[in-house]
Amino acid sequence: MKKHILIVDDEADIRDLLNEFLSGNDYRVTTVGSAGEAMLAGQSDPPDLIISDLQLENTDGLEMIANLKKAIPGKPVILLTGVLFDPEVVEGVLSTKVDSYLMKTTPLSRILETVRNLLKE
Amino acid sequence: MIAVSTVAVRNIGRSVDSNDWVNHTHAVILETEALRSSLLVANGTLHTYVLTGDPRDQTACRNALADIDDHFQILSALTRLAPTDHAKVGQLELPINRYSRSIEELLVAKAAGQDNTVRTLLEASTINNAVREMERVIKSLKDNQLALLTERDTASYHQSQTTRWTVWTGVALNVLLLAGVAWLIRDDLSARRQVTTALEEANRFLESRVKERTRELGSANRHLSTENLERRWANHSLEHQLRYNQRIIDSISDLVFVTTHSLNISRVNPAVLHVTGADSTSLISKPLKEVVRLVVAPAGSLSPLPDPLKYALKAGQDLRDQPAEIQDRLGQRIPVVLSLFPLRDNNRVVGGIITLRVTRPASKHSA
Amino acid sequence: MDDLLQDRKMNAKRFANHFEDFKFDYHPFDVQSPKQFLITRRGDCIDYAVLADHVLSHHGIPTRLIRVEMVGKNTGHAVCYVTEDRAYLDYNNRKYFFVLQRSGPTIREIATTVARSLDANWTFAQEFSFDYESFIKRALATVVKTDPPELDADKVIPPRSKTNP
Repeated sequence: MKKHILIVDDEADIRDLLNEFLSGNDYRVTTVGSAGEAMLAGQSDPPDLIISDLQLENTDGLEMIANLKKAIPGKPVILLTGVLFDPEVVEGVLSTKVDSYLMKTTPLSRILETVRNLLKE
Repeated sequence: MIAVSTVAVRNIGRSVDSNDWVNHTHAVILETEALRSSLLVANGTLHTYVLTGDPRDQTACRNALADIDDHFQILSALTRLAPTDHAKVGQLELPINRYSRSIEELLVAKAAGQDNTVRTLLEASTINNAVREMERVIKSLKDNQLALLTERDTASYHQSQTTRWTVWTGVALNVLLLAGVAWLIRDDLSARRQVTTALEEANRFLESRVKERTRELGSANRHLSTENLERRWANHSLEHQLRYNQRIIDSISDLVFVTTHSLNISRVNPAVLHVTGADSTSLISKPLKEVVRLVVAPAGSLSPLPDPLKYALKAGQDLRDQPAEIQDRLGQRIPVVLSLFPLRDNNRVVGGIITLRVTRPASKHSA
Repeated sequence: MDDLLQDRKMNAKRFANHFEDFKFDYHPFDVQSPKQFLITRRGDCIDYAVLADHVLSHHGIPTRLIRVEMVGKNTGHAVCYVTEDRAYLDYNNRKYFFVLQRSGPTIREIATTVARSLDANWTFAQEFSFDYESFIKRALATVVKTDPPELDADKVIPPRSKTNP
């Protein structure tokens, strides 16, 4: 059975690209554009892994992730971020809240590698 | 096969001809026998008539004479193409005529009751001589036919032997030919099987090559698709990042000018427009010095430089916290602190970044 | 005999129909008188052929008497050829529906057809005449099988007529 990945990003282009890439690598993908949709999707069809943007419209991505972890515990989370102004400082904060964080400039192959590692494939 | 058939048919034809000739020879013999019998019957019925005077005997005698003539005609026809035999038959004509005439005279004389004439004719040797001559010729003819029969029987035997040998030789040849053809067919079949095997082998090889190539193309296609996705992802993320960077720069309150190497303005941030009250089109391509002016020469310089900013840019040096002035669109001078940073691309100075911090707030202008 | 000679509708087939139930009785080339043949209702091929020749000629139908010798089979046969029908009357066919056997007019053709009907080879054949007054057969033309056909007597010299043998 295919592993299920939930993608949360307010930009449609990001969602479409990641969906196309991960589906092509034999994953079942659900994409949502807001924190509210993410909570609904996560509870109705729990994923095996979550990929989320840090900055969502009207919401803090980390806050959404914390709520989602409470609702469906034990699921690994990858945070996608833009360029970090102070990587060392932000890294220290992010690493406690998510299982992995990657910049949006990270190649897709690297993102796939991270997904596979977290899903222990 | 055609040659054998031709020879066999010819031999069959010869056999039929030979059979006809045998029948023909038998016919000649039978007619000579019949002629002789008719002669005996004629003699017999004649003497009977002479004794009895019965008209029926006369009729029988005349019938016998007619039969003699009939058999003679037939013999003549049968021997037409055999000169020797035909000549012999021809020898019968005279005696038969003499004989017939004599018998007829006798019959007429007897019917007329002329017994003396009958006696005289009977005693004459005419009839007997004729009969003897006829018998001699008939015997000779018959002996000749029997000899011919023997000859033809031998020829027929040899003919049948020849036919037999011809047919068996033909059969043997045909068997050999068939064997040869069978061998050729077998050989041909074997060659065809080899060709078929080779073709199948070639097909399998081609199929495997095609599969391999398809796999390669599929792999290349997937690779290209992945590359394409990576490129799109990279473009998108760069674009996204550029937008973010732009927003960050646009939110800075310090005035930021980006210039060319010649210190002509190429970009300004919104803070510049806000403080100067100018619009971007009026500033772009304008020399910086028309908008910004250093108040004093940079610290540490021995003599005032004609254009310290140009000098710093050319030297590739930073220039920090220099007092300067900016003029707004109303001509009002606004004191600022100027810093210059060379804009580098691969270690090559391609332009400059000049930041201005306003030290005394100026009156607000609409941008 | 009178019935046969006075029947105005006489033709070859009509003649043959009279002999359907006649029996075969062999007299080697002796011809019976017509009276004896018709009363006994027994006879052979020559009795039939000669009577046919006599009756049909009486009614103005041209006929020819042909005799065929098959030496190999030790047998001979006689038929009456009806010129206008291009066929001959054969005593062997008297019981069949097709009493007339078609054949070409030459002696050779008639002999070949007769011999084939008897599964035999013919040796020689003869056209002859016969009259009931003299009871004598007179040969008109003789054809030999082994002779070249172009030399056949009925081709080289026309056959002697019955009135002028």
